[in-house]
Amino acid sequence: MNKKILKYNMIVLGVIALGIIIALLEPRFFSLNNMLNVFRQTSVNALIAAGMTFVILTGGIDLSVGSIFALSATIGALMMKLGFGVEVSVLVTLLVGVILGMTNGILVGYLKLQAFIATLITMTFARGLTYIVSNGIPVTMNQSINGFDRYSYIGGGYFLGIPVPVIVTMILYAICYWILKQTKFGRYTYAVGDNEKASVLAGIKTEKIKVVIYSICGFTSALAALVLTSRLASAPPTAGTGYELDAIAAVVLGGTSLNGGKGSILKTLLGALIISVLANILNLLNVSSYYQMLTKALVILLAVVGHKKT
Amino acid sequence: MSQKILAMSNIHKSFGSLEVLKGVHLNIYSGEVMALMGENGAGKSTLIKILAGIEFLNEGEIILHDSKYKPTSVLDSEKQGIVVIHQELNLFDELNVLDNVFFGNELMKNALEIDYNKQIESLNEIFKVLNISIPYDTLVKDLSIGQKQLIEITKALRKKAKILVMDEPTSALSEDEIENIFAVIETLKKQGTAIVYISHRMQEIYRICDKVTILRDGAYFGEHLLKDLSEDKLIELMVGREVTDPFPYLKVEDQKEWLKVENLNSDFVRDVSFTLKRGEILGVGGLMGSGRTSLAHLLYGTSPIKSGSIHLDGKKISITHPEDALKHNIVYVSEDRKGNGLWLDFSIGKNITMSALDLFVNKMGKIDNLRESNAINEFMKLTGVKASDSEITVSSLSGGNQQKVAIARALLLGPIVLILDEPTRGIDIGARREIYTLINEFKRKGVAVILISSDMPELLSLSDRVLVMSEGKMTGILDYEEKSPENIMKLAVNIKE
Repeated sequence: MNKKILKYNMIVLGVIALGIIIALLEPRFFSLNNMLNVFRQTSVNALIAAGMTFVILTGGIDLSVGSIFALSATIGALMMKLGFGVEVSVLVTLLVGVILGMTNGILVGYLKLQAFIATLITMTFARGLTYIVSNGIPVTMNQSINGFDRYSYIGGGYFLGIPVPVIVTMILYAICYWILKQTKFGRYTYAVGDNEKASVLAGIKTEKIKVVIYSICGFTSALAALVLTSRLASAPPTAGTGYELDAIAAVVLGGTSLNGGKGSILKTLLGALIISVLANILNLLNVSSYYQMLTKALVILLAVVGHKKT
Repeated sequence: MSQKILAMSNIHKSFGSLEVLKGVHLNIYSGEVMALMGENGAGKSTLIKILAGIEFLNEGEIILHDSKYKPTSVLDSEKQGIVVIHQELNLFDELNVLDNVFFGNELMKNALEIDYNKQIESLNEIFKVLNISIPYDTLVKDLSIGQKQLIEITKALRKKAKILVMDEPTSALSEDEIENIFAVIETLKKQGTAIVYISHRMQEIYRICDKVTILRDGAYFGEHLLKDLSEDKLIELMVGREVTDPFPYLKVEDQKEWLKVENLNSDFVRDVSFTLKRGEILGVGGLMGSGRTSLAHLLYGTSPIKSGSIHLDGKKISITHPEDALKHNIVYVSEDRKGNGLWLDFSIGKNITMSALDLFVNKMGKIDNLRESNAINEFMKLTGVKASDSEITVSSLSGGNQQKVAIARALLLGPIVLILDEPTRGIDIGARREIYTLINEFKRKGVAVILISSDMPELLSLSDRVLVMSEGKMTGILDYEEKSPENIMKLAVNIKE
C-alpha cells in the first residue's frame, strides 16, 4: 500500500525534494518576483503539455505542436499587424491550432496512420507554411498597431499581481482536469488508450474521440503561441522548435504512460514545473546551458526509471 | 514392417488446478500416419506441445527408440528429428523460399558468407524427392497457402525429420492443393517417416491415415485401426454419449419472433439464415475457426456484411458499427475478455458503465457520480461479482468474476438480443453455474440469446436449438429434439451423407 502511495505521488515528492535542494543552494529562488517569473515561464510548456496529455492518454503522440505553435503565432501576429484587431486575431490564432490539430485527428482516427507519422507530416507541413506566410522573417509588432496594448496584456499583463499567462494556465488545467475526471469524454479518452479494441466493441466512436483529442492538443499549442507572441511582440518562423520534446518530457515526468490509459493531467503540470524550475535554478547558479541539457536529461531518466521500479 | 519409434504413455498435465491431460497415450510408427482426433479443448495441442518440448509433462514418460526422451526445448526435439508444423505457419513473408528453408541453419562458405550454391543444390534434392517445383527465389508472400505448407514440409525434411506432426494442414487449402499435400505424405510414408496428422475432416482421415488416437476432455479413448472403425463409431468415441454436467433447461412459452437473419454472407461467413424468438437461446456450435465469432461480428457491426439481410421485429435494419447494434439493443459479450472485452487497468465500476455512460450524463457530458455508483452496485449484485468494492481493478479479479463484469456491462445496456461468445471459457465450475443461472434469468425476462460455445454440455443443456457452422458455412440447425453431441459433430465436420 505504501508503495502504491509512493508510486502515485512520486512527482509530488520530486517537487518537494527539488524545493529543499533549491532552498539550500540558492535562497534567491524563493523571492516573489523570481517565483512568478518561473511560473510564467512554465506556462508556455504547461499549456502545450496539457493537450499533449490528452493525446498520450489515448496512446498517441503529437510531434507537430511546435510547428502548430509557429504557424498560429505567425498568422495571429500578421492579422494584428494588418489591423484586424485583438478579437479577430486571437480567434484566428486559436482556430489555426484547432484546424491543424483536427487534421492530425483525421489522419490518425479515420485514415489510421500511426500518430508518429501523421503528426510528423503535419509538423513538416505547418513549418513550411510558416516560412511561406512569414517570408522567412519574424513578424514583429509595435505600439502603433491597433489594439496593441490589449494584445500584449495576454502574455505580459498582470491580474491582481499574478501574470496573466499563469492565470490562463490555471484555468486551462482546471477545465482539463474536470473533463478528464468528470465527463463521458474524459472516460472515453482513458478507455481508448487502455484498450482500443474493447472501446470499439463497446460502441465508442474511437475515430471521433481522436479527432477531438488532437484538436484539443492543437488548441492548447495555439494558446501557448498566443501567450508568448503577445509578450514578445514578435513571431519568428523558427518559434516553437523542439517544444514537442519539452511537452512530452513534462507528460512523462508526470507519470503518464506512453502506452495510454494511465496518467493524470495535474501531474503533467508538476512535470512542466520541474523542468522550468530546474532551468531557473541552474541559471541562478550560473551553470552553462550546455550542462543544463545534460541535467534535464538525467532528471527525466531518473523519473522514468523511478516510475518503472515502483 | 512398420515399427513403433515413439511412445508417449500415461501423460498427465495440469495448468494450475485445471487438468488438461489425464493419462494419455500416443504411439507413433515409422512409415505410418497416425491421426490424432478430439473436440476443441480435448488436449491435442497440449499433447503435441509436450512432444515438441514447448510444454512439460507432470507425469508419464516418453520413449524414443527404446530410450527415455525428455525434450526441454523445440531445438532439443528437432535435434531428435521431431518436427511440428503448426496450423499458423512460421514463415517469413518477405524472404524467399531458399532463405526460409535454411533460416537458422544456413550452409556456410566461411564464417561470414552463405554458400548459396550449396543451399540451392540441397533444396533441389529435397524438392525432387517431394516432386515440388517452386522457383527457389520466389518470395514466400507470393506463394499460395498450399505452397507455403509444402515449404514447411521441406523445412522439416531439411531438419531430417523422422517424426512429422501436422496440425490441420489442409484447413485453408483448395482440393488441388490438398492432393499435392497428400502426394507428399505418401512419399514420406514410403521413406519411413512417421507422421501425426491432426484434422477434423473425416474423408481425409480415412484416406491417408492408418490409425487413430482419440482424446476426449483430456482423457484417452484408445488407439484404433481406421479400417476397423466406422465414422459413426469414431464420432461417438470423440464426443461420448452422456452429457457430464447437465444444467436445467428452461422452457419459455409463446414468445414473439424477434430476429430474422436471411442468407448472410461476408468474407468469412456463408449462407447463414435463422430466426430467433425472445426468450429463446440459439446455441451456435462448430469447431474452432468455423466462423462462429465472425458471425457474431456481422450481427454486431464490427465486420462488413456482403449480402443478406437482418430483420428485427419485422423491420429490416442495417448495422455497420457497434453503435448501430447497441441502438437496436443488440449486445455482444466477447470471447476474448482480456483482448477486447475489458479495460484491465480500470476499476470494476468503470468497466460496467463504459458502454452505458449516456444513462448518467447531463447535457454537458458530466457524469452523475451518485447515479453511476448506484447502478454499478445494482449490477454487481445482480451478476454476483465477488469483490470487496467497485473500485478494485479488473485485472486482479478471477476469470469468472471478470466474465461477470463483462456480462454486467452488457446487461446495463438492456439487451433484447444478447450474443454471448464462449461465456464460460477458462472459468471454474462454480462460477460457470452462476453464469448459467444468469443466462436463464435473461431468457425468462424475454431476452433473445445467441450462445456461441465450444463446450458441448453447455451448448446442449442451455440451448433451445443449435445452429452449427463448418468452415464458415452454416451446415444446419438442430431442433430441441434433434440436438445431440453426435449430430452436432456430424454437422461440424460436415459429413456429406
